[in-house]
Formats: sequence, structure tokens, C-alpha cells
Amino acid sequence: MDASLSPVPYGTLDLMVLKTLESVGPLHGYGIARRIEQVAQGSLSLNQGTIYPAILRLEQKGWIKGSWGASENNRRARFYSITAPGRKRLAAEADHWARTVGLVNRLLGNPS
Amino acid sequence: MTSLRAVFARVRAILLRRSHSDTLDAEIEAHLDLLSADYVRLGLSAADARVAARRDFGGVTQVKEAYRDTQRWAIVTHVVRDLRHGLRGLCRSPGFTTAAVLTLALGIAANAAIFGLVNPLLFRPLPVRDAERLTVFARHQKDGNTVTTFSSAEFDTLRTQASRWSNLVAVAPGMYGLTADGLTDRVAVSFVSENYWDAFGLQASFGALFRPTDAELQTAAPVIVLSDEYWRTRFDRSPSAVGKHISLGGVPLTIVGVGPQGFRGDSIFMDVKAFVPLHAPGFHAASRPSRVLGFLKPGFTLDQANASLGAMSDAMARDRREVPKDVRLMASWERFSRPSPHTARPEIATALIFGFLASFVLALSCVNVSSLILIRAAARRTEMALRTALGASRPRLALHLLIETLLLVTAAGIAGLVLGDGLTIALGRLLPRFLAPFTGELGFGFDWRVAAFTVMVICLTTIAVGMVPALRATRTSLEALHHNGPTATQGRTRLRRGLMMLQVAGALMLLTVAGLFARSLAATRVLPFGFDRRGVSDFGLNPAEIGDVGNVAQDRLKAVLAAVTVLPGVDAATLTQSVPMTSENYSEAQVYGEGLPLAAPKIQEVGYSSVSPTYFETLRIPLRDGRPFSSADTSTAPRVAIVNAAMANRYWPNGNALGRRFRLNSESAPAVDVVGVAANILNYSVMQDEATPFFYLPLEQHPTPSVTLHVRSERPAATMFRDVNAAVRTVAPDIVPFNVQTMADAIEAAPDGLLLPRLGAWLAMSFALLGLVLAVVGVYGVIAYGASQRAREMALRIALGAGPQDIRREVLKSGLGVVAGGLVLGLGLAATFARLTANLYFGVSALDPATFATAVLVVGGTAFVACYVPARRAMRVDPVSALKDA
Repeated sequence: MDASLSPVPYGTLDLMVLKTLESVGPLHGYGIARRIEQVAQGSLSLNQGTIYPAILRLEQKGWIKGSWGASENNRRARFYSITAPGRKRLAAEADHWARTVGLVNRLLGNPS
Repeated sequence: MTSLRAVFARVRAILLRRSHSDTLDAEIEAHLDLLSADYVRLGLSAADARVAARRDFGGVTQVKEAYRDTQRWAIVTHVVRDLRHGLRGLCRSPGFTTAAVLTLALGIAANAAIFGLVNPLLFRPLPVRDAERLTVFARHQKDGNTVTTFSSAEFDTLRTQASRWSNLVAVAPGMYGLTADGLTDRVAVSFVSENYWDAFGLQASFGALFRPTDAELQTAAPVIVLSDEYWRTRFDRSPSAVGKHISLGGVPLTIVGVGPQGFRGDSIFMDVKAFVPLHAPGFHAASRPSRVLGFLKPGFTLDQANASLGAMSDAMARDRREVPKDVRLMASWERFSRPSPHTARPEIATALIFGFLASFVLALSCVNVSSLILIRAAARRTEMALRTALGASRPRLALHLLIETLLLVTAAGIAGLVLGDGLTIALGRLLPRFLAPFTGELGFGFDWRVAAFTVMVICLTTIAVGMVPALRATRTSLEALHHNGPTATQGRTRLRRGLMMLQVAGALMLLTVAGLFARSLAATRVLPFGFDRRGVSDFGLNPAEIGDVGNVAQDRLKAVLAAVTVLPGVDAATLTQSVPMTSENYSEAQVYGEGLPLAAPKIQEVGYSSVSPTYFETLRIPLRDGRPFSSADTSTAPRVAIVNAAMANRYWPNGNALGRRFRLNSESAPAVDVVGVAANILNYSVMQDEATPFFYLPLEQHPTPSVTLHVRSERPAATMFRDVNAAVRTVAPDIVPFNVQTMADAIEAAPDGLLLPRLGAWLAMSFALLGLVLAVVGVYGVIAYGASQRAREMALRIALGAGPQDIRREVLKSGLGVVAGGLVLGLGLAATFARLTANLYFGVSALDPATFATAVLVVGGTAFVACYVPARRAMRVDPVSALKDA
């Protein structure tokens, strides 16, 4: 594994999945993984499989919901979309994240 | 909200296990397809694309596992699987399982039994409303005495002025003959203040209960309420019992109702059969001292409330002509005041001590099973290493082992409860007579407290037994897979040896305590009681219970004595106010004398008993001087007394007590002539100082209606019981003999008699036996296992020329070192425990060297044998096969 690639920071995968679904619309698991990798522009080492437990977690909390559909190559695949509570949650998480990052940045002495 | 949804989702997933994992499979397939399609587009071959897709995706199995863990509570499925797995594992090694379960069951049984014994007496609340706020009033004196009874004036003061309490009740107990339909029973009766039933929030199970409002009615037509149990046993639950006219101690009363089911009065130690209003005419109950109970009002702590009693306490002391600062009026919680609110409570201390011994036995069995599991774990190292290699985490493995232990302990707990229940009943039989009614009815048996206690013991035991092995066993490296055979790890050996040392020490402590109790018991067997209790049968008689007092009572008692004396086989018979060591009916009197050193500021109170002339002859108490009482010492004759040697020595140290005079309770009372000096006997307790002053008065001159009839005969006790009862029935059909038993039995069962040494010896010896067995098994197991671990080393030594003796010495040396350490530790433990409990032993010093030496010899010797047997086996190791196996 390339040492310059950082692993997914703990607890942020759920946030990434939510954000992806919010900005792109309904996607299947592969699509979500792809999209996250694209946005990361190769700076992230993602085991694509790990998004499935994350998806399940979000579904159990009712923040996303899934339905069966057909993929590009006509396979049965599950498409996920963000729900209203999911959007609310995303807003809250994003805000919290921004504040955390701001705080850490200030502590490290490079105001952004 | 969201978490609730997650819970539902998880529960659904557990129920619909299959369909969900199918969904995941489909999703993963779709994912891999899309991914490899992209790679194909980038120019890879179909096969290469598939491989690349797999690589990007990561481990499919791990993802599924993580997915499943999210889906359900991983721990639940793991536990279920571990339970099944553990059960199979335990069934596969029945020897280990049986040994472990039995060992623990014995330990748990010992604890359940002790708890079961103490539970109904000390913990079970009274079946009344707000029992947790119920308090008992008492006056605690500076010298340690506690007075728990109050006069009716004092009760009125408390009722009107103790503002932090509500619903105060007064209870005066008594024993009476209850005559209904021509049959007389001797029953315990409580005279209770009229608000009794309302205060306790109790309802009649049949008929009606008396209320404060109908006090006047009760004076006109006196009433009685039966206990539910007495209604059942005596009147067969007949509705016609209510309204029946009966007589209690000769006073006519009407039964108006039956108390609630299971209610036996407000004292756990009494089995009250009937309740009568305190002011019912004919009993003068209101003028008797009574126990006062009350409910602390909500919002006050007991300490605050007690602080408010100060002025009342002082006033009460002044009225009683006591020094106010020497006595404190206080209320204590009823549930912590059984049998009485004394500050020093020997019953509890004794129960705690035996509880401690029982938990010690359990601790020893835990240690034993711990080492069994450790030994088993060593054999399972390969299994553990394999599971680690396959990806099981350490907490998972530890959990698995703990669950196995839990299974073991639960099985042991169930077996222990069954055993313990039997043990409790057996112990209950040893308890004194006054508890006898409870062993059957109230039952020392199962209730939720016993269940909760046992579950708690099981949990603690699981942790105690399982924690160390679980943590140890999971600290396995993969190396274990390479080394095909077990290799002794230094740390683990040290742990096992530590446990073995504890076992030896524990066994030594238990055995020492048992030895001390056994010697106490032996000491009581040769005790100079001063009287001959063998061949004597006792019969309690009390004409006052049927309303006969004064001369009538005495004449009837005399008639009974005369009839019994002439029965065939009767050598002697006598009436007495009190029976030695049974603490019934003792009286004390202040002694004022001529020539007595009573100018001392403190007036001496001396115990006495009224007896018939034949008393000394019947109990074979020698007279040192003077004469016994005679039939000439009647109520009109000059007053006489016989003093014991201790009293003679204390008050007339120059000898010649004969002819001296003293007065009872007041300087103006009629003088009493000393006409005899009797040998000292143990009047109060086996532990008493022999030289306690005591004196005797003729029953005729100091009559009391409540007496015990002693009958001496060579005939079997059963014959005497039958004949004497028949004789009493003929002479006085309405007087019912009670407490019919041999004098020896009465003393055996009396708390001040032989009960404690007997109960103690019995319990401590069974605990010690258990401890010894556990230690033998433990030592043997550890040594045998250690020797088998070192088989290869021994084989090498033999191959290099060591003789069998050297091998034996080697194994023995390692074992005996640990045993010696355990003995030293055990001596320390035993000495500490014995000194803390020194007042339980009798006739033997708590640090009795002979007892300690015997215990060391027994434990040391047994442990030596337990070491020697495996050492001999190690000696015979066959070097060729041992080396080949390794």
C-alpha cells in the first residue's frame, strides 16, 4: 500500500456517504465508493467493502433508505438515497466537523 | 428515536437472518461486477479485472463479518454460540465437569444454608404496611443493658409527645390457657393497644378486627382475635369459630375475627396465636410493661427523630429514679432489632462469623476449580492458538472461557441450592426450641432473597473462578502451534503454586477453628454442672394461664406434685421456678443484709429461684452445710433461704453463713434466715463464672404460678412423659404441661446451654472437612500436573543417570516447599481469626497450642500424601517413551 495514502479517518465514513448521497442523488454502493475516491483524488485509501457496514448503519438509523434498481450493466443493485432526517443530521455533522477542524487548526497555529 | 429504530432493525435482522445476508451477497456481487467492468474498460482482461476488483474491495469475508456485527448485536450471537460450544466442551470432559460442579456446589451450599438460616430471622420484613419505617423503642442504659418495655403511662407519653412518629402501638405478651369446647391449649397471646390493626394496615381474613373506636364496646363484651394459623389448626377454618365464647386464663371472651394470613404478631421470635385489646377487663394488661413500636414519619431520619426524644428521655429516667444521663430513650429500626435492640448483638456477630467461614469454604472451592480450569487451559493451548490464528480477538476468547465457567457455576449453583436447602433444614433442627415453630411454617426454605443471594454468589463465583484463567489462557502466542507438546511456562506455574498455597492455608485455618469448637464441645461434656441432668424429665406448668393464682394455684401445683411423686418408677420430683441455663423465669432481688458489706454504694442484685423441698435431692445438688427446705417451711413459718457457696463466701467470708439473715428488695422487708449452703451450680450459662452468687427460697413462702416440674426416674423418658401427662390430666385436667422434654435436651438446645458449642462444632467441622478435601484435591492436581509437565525433563535426567530416588525427591521438594509456605500462611490466618472470635470458644484458649499443632499435623500430613503419590508416579516415568512422545 502506498504510504502517502491516509486511511479513512475514524468516524468520517458515515459523513462522507451522507454527503455523497446528498450532492449526487440516489447511488448504489459502488457508485458511492467511486464518488468518494474521485473527490479524494487519490489521497485516500478506501477498502470499498467497508462502506457496506456504514451504509447499513445509516439505514438502521433512518438517515438513508435503499431500494432495488438496475445498474449500468443491468444487474440488480440497491440504490440509496438520503432521507429528510439524514439531511438534518448531515447539516449538524458538517457543522460539528467544521467547528472541530477550526479548533484544531487554531490550536496548531495556522488559521484558515 | 433513531437509536430505537436501530434496535428494531437489529432485532428484525436477528429474526430474519437468512434474507439479509442474501441481500448483502447480491450487493457485493453487483459491486464487484461494476468494478471489474471499469477495469475491463481500462484494458485489463476479464480475469485480471476480476482480481483487481477483489483487491480494491478488500476482504469479502471481513466485510460480511463487520456487516453482520452491525446488523445484529454481535455479542448476542457470540454468547449464544459460546453457550452451545461451551456446553459441548463440558460434556466432552465429564470428569472435569463433575469435579468442578461438585466442588463449587459444596461451597455454594454452605453459603446458601447459612444465608437461608439467617434470612427469615433477620432480613425478612414483618408483613405489615410500611414495614421499612417501623421502629422499636428502647431505653439504652450506660452499663450496656437495654430495657425494651414501657409502662402504660410511658406509652401514653410517647404516643402523645413523640411527634416524629405516627401510629404507636403497645404490645404486652403472655402465655395463657385458651379453653374452647372443653379443651385447653397453651397459647402465646399479645395484649395490644386498640389501634394495633389500623396502625399496621391489616385486614381480617375472616370476621372483624377490633378498632380504637369500639373501645367502650370491648369493655362491655370483651373480644379476642385469633391468628389465621391458629384458626386453621384449632378450628379447622370453621366460620362458626367467630362468635364463639371461649375462656382465656379463666376470663370469658368472644372471638370476633381472624387476623390476616401469615401474620404471627409483631415479633419474629414469637408465634402469637391470639390478640386481645390492651384494656380488656380481667387481665390488667395495661399495667404490664409492654413493647412499644411506631412508624417514623416520612421526611425524618431516625437520628434526627431520636434527637427529639431528649427531654422525654430525661423525664422518664427521673420518674424511674434513674440518673438521666445514664440512660437514653431511642428508637431503632425493627428489622435491625431482632430479637432485641441491644447494641451488642451476639446473634448477628455469630451469624456473620459462620457466614465468613462459609464464604471461606466457597473461596477455597473457587481456588480449586480455578486451578482445574488452568490445568485444562494448558491442555487447550493449541486450540486457543488456532482460534487466535483464525482471527478471534482476545476479548472474544476470554468471553468464551468466562461463559464456560458461568455454565459450570450455574450448574453448581442449582446443585448447591438443593443441597443447601436440605442443610438449612438440618441446621434448623439444631436451633433452640423457641424457633421450632418457624422451621416448619415460616420455612428456612426458598424465597426471593435466597434466590437473589444465590444468583449473586454465582456471579461472584464465576468472576472469581473464571477471570484469572480466562486472561491467562488467552495470552497465548502463535508459538503454541509450533511446540506440539505443552511446555511449562514459568508464570503459569507460579500462579498454580500460589493457588495451591492458598488452599493449604485455608484448610489449616478451617481445621483450626473446627478444632477449637470441638475442644469447646468436649470441655462442656466434662463441665462441672453441679447438678445431675441425666434421668430428669421436665414439664412446664402454669395455673395462672387458666386464671388460677395465689393459694389456689399453689394448692393445685402441690396436688400435681403429690400425684407425680407416687407414680411407679419416680425416684424424686420437685417444682422449681427456674431451670438452670434455660434463662426462663429467673428473678433477681436486691439483697440487704445483717453483717453484709452492703454499705457499698451499689446495691447487689442476686439471682434466686423458688423451689420445693425436694429440689436438691431431685437434681442431686449437694448441701455443704445446714439443712434442705422441709414441709415445715410453710407460708406461716419463719422465712428461710438456702444460699450457694459463692454467696456464702462473698457475704460471710469467715464461714458460718448459717443463721445469718438478709432482706429482699427493701430494708423493711421481713428478714430471711440462712438455713443451708448449697454447692455452686451453673445457673445461668455454661460460660458463667462458677462463683456467681445465687440463693433459693421455699416455693411455699415465695409462690409463683409458673413452674417447671422436674421428675427423676430410671425409666425411659418417653414412658415418663406419658405417665406424668396422664397423672396431671387426672389431677388437674385444665392445666396443660408445656415444654415437655428431658432436662438434658433442654440444656442442649438452650442458647446459654450447649447450643453454641454444639452448633459451632458441627458447622465448623463440616466446613473443615470440606476444606481438607478441597486442599487434597488441589495439591494432588497441581503436583501431578507439574510432574507430567516435567516428564521430558525427568526422562532426560534418568537417561543421564539420575536414580528414581532423585526424581522423587525433586518432585516432592517442589511440592513440599509450597505446602510449607501454605502452612505458615494458614497459621497466621488461623491465629488472627481465632483471636477475633475468642469469645465463641469455651474451656480452651483461642490460641491453644495443641489444637494448632494437631491442625498443622493433619493438614501437613495430608498434603504430604497428596504430594507423595504423584511424586512416586513421576519416579516410574519410562525415559524412552517420555522422550519419544515429546
